[in-house]
Amino acid sequence: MSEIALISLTISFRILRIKIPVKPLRSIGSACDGFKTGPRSLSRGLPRYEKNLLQLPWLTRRLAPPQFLSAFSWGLGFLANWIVPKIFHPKERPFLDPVGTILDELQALSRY
Amino acid sequence: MARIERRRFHNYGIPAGNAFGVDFQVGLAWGAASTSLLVGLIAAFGGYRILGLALHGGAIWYFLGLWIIANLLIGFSEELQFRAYLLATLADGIGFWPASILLSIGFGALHYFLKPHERWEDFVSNGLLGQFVCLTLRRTGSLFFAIGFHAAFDLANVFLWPGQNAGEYAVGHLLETRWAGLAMANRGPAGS
Repeated sequence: MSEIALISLTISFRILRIKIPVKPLRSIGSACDGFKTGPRSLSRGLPRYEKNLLQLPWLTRRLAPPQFLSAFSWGLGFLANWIVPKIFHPKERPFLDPVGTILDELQALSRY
Repeated sequence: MARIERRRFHNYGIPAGNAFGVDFQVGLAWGAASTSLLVGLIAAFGGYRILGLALHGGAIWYFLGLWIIANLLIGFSEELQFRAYLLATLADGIGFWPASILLSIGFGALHYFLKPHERWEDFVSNGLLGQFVCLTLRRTGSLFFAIGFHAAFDLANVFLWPGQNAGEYAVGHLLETRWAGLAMANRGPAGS
């Protein structure tokens, strides 16, 4: 691989099956030639988007959706089973009461 | 499950973006229009009369807001439970239409067995509504039409053109109404 890595990009139009070659881009490394740094050290200075989300090292992008869903469902369950009953006393309400219905559906969604 | 099965949410009819987009809004319009048409036809043949407003002043907006939230939650909850993953997975095994028929029967049965004062007509009508919603999912590829339809349909039935549901009128319904057909049939309280 040469020092200035050439990136060849093609945009494929699936329907027309036309490939348009895009002019190769110049590498970022060309500005740091004097330091004799390879591609690895160049990438060190760039933000690692694939790793960190919310700047938390343990929260990788791959784990973020399940963690978010767990927290969301736990929060929904907590709201539906503890907070809302304390405030609205749904058991004293008739079958077709909007607050009772909201509570029932929140509980159903949290179970789902 | 999507992660385990290496599928995307839209494979289950849940598009990741545009949740409240065109499909949802058209679903809302269909839900409100279908109920209004049905009640209008009943009224045209003398089976339904509006006696006046049941709510006044700020109570209208208070209960309207609560019922909108409640019916949106019903739409989301029931459509996610009865369609979405369940329908997609069952359809993989036995085909879309058999799966949709089976789940629609289950949808009708759940209403019939779990709600008081339900009759066989309620079973059938709920099953047919479930089948219609499956059809919309097939046509649009998105569950949001169904969610909008379900929410608006229920809102119109419970709040806007109130009728008995599970043998009683909803708390905080908009209009005071009289259903002549129910009295004529004299078969006790109505279901859904």
